[in-house]
Amino acid sequence: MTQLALVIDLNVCVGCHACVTSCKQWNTSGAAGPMFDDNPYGADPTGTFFNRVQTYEVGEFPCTETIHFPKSCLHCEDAPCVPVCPTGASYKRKEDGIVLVNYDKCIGCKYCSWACPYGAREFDEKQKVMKKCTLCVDRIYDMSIPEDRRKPACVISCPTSARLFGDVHDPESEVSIAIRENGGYPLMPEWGTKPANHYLPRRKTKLRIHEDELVRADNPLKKEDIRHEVSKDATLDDWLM
Amino acid sequence: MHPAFSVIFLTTLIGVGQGLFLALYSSQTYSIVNVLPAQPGSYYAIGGAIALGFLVAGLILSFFHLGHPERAWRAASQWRTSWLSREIIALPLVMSLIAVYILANWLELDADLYGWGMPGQVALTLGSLGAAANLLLFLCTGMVYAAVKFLQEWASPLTVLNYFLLGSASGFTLAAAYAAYQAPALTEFYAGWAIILTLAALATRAASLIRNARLKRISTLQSAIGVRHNKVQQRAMGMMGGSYNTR
Repeated sequence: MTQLALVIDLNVCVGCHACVTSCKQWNTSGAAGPMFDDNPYGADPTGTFFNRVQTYEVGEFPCTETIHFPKSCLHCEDAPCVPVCPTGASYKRKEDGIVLVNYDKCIGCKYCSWACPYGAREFDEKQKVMKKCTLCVDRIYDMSIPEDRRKPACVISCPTSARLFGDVHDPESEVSIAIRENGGYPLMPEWGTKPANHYLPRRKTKLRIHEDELVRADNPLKKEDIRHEVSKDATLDDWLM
Repeated sequence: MHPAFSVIFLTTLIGVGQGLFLALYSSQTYSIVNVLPAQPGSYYAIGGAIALGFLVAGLILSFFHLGHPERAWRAASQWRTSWLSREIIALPLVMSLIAVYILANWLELDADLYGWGMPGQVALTLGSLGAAANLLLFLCTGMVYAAVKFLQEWASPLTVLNYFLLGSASGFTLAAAYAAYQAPALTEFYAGWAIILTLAALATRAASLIRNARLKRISTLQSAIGVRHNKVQQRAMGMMGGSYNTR
């Protein structure tokens, strides 16, 4: 069984919000209609976004780290928003595990937003229906798009490649390997919702350089120890050898 | 979470209606076994109509919190999984059973259904069905909230009990007022139970407030972002500040 999902590398994300804007651009232009913006140029703008980058400060100054935390619907395998929906508008697709809302069936009662512990549900105040990340379901199966670009808009746009997309049930997929090899984890596993999206943790990127690595220690032809006299006759070629 | 005002009106008003019906039903049952003085059928019919009025008002008000009230009929479809859907089925069920109860009492319909040789068997049967449906509706209303396990304040049997006791207390209070006007002999019975139910509701509501104050959070900021550090602070909510559920 396929379970499409995103894997987000917190070690790589720089918090540029490119995924947020590209998500908004793609999804506001789709057949489902625009995503509401309230007072977008005013002092207190707000609106419907399927993807948001939150920022956290971890630690105590001066030993702090800033964590940019992109968050969208996690497409839970046991999605709590689905059984509570009174109309059946909220559903999880069997074929690829994407959790979707049928905007034509939704009555806008907002009960699912209470049932989502991740706050991933986004109410559209204009269309009066509940919306959420669709994993760009209208893009990833679009045969008119070149195959390598049939990915969610946020994945395509990420300049640091912090976002991976694929089937987390296929052990050999890029996302499964990333989760396995880099300690990928789900959010709030204590509730048993089994989020499909995973996050890769911050990692210490230290480079150990031994002194031997600075010179060609075991090369008998090495020239690092040859030093030339500094004179006015020396040209750049002498230095470069 | 902040439930919409229309939802608060819905639960409050249908609570009064359900409680009033339970009060009428209990006094009628008592009168059949001659514990309380019997009243004419019109007394129960008019009282039932008042209860029905509260339920209808609550139902109408509940539509105001929907984004698409014209699609509300769809909400009855997911009764297998959704307590909200079950509530939406139970509410019209209660209303129609109360309507039948009103009609039977107004026309003073009676028959020796069970061969007991006592009057009031039809009213008793319809009243029992209505009361059972009422209890079911209390259960559904409470479970809409208690079934959301992530909201630990609500995810408790006390939520259901509070809806039942607070609704019944308000209904019995209204019944006491109605009886003071129409059937003074019953006022003491209703008022006594109204006091008992109100005090019981006070106790269970206080219990749930104490429980909420002592609640141990299952999720933390650490588990929400998967960073194990004692000090984590959120600095920004993301693009354009909060979404509708953080506004």
